Amino acid sequence: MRYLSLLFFGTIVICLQTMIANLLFSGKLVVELSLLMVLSAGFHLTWVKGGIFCFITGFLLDCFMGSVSGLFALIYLAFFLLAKFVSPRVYAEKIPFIMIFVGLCSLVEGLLVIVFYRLALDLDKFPHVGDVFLPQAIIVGLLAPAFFSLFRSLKVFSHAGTTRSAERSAIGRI
Amino acid sequence: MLLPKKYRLGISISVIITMALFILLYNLRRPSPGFLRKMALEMVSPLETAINLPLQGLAEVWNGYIFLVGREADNKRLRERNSQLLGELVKYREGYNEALRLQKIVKLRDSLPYSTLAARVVGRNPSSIFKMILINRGESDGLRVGLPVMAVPGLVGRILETSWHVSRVLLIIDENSNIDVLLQESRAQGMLQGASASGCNLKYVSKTIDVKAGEVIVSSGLGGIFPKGLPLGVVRSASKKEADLFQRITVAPFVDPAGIEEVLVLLPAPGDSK
Repeated sequence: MRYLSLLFFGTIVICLQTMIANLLFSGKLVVELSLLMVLSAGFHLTWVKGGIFCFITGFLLDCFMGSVSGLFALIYLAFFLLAKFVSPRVYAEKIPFIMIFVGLCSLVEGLLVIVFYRLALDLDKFPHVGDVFLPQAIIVGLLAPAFFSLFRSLKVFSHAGTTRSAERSAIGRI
Repeated sequence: MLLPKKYRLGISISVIITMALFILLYNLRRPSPGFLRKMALEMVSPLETAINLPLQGLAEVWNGYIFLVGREADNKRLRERNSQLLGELVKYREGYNEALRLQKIVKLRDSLPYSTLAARVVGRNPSSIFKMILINRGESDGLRVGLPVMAVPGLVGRILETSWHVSRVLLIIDENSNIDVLLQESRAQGMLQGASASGCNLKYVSKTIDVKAGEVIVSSGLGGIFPKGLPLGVVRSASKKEADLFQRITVAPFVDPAGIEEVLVLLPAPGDSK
């Protein structure tokens, strides 16, 4: 039940980010709160539950954004796995780390989308790197610490299968 | 579970990744929305609507605010421009009105068989007991006491005193003004005397003469000051009383003294010393 409510919350976040994008940036930029959730999930959820959560969130984002189904599902899944891989090795409470990590992920996500569209559909989205993906990455990076903190204080991921503390204590901090 | 515990995690992750890849590849080949996508959209649509409604209101408020912020600057700029244009409009309207007045004055000058000099009214003293105006022409322009002063469409008065560059004009509505006149239709003679705010009174017109309201009064040319035939006003009312020797006739001057801005002074003929 807790896990279902997390999925519901993810859906609301996707709806909200679309609205916020329209409201603040007239749809030109998307503050990708769903990516923040996915990366945050990488630090808090188990492999399977987090994987399913990111897959569904990505799939819903595909539906909302009108991109090819499975594109964001795969990308989010990849980022979740990356975050999950990184999480036991770093001290993720550091604000600069969160900002840089999320910013880079957002930029890489943009590049992956560009490459996908170039290879699969022969669409050139590269000119959007400077005016869309880069500012988007900076904004998401800047907002990341606040949202990570918000997710934590709202206990979004608590009781949904957290493993972070155990894994981190086992491997140690960087 | 049938799977060994140590492989369970890897297999689960692999399944999810494979699913995502499968969906992606499948949808790449088949661009129309699949069942899952349709279902997701159907399920999420009410939620999106529910979130959209309050946010839409918020968006309207926000957009309204942004709109107003932009419009405030626009309003300021437009207000300034409006004031500037209004100022210019007033200036041009004033110029246009002046041109119209001068056009009338020129027409009047051309219609008169006398040489004239145009002058501008530079002062007036309507509140005093004397009804006079000050014009910007004086002795240096050839003016002298007694010269008739006209405006469109009739006589205004006569010059009462002059200095080098200005002259004072006694208006026909001043109580000290007496002009020998004729009723244009009946040709009856009388004396037009100023009556201040009420205009003028025509005196010494016999009761035997039928005077009608609206009849035009012109100068008679007697008295040596005003040439004959200058229009002065129209009869406003005429009454005959038993006890009076003459009719009581009130006259409305053609020229409203309050509205005079330019006048024509009738100059004497060369060699005329009067």
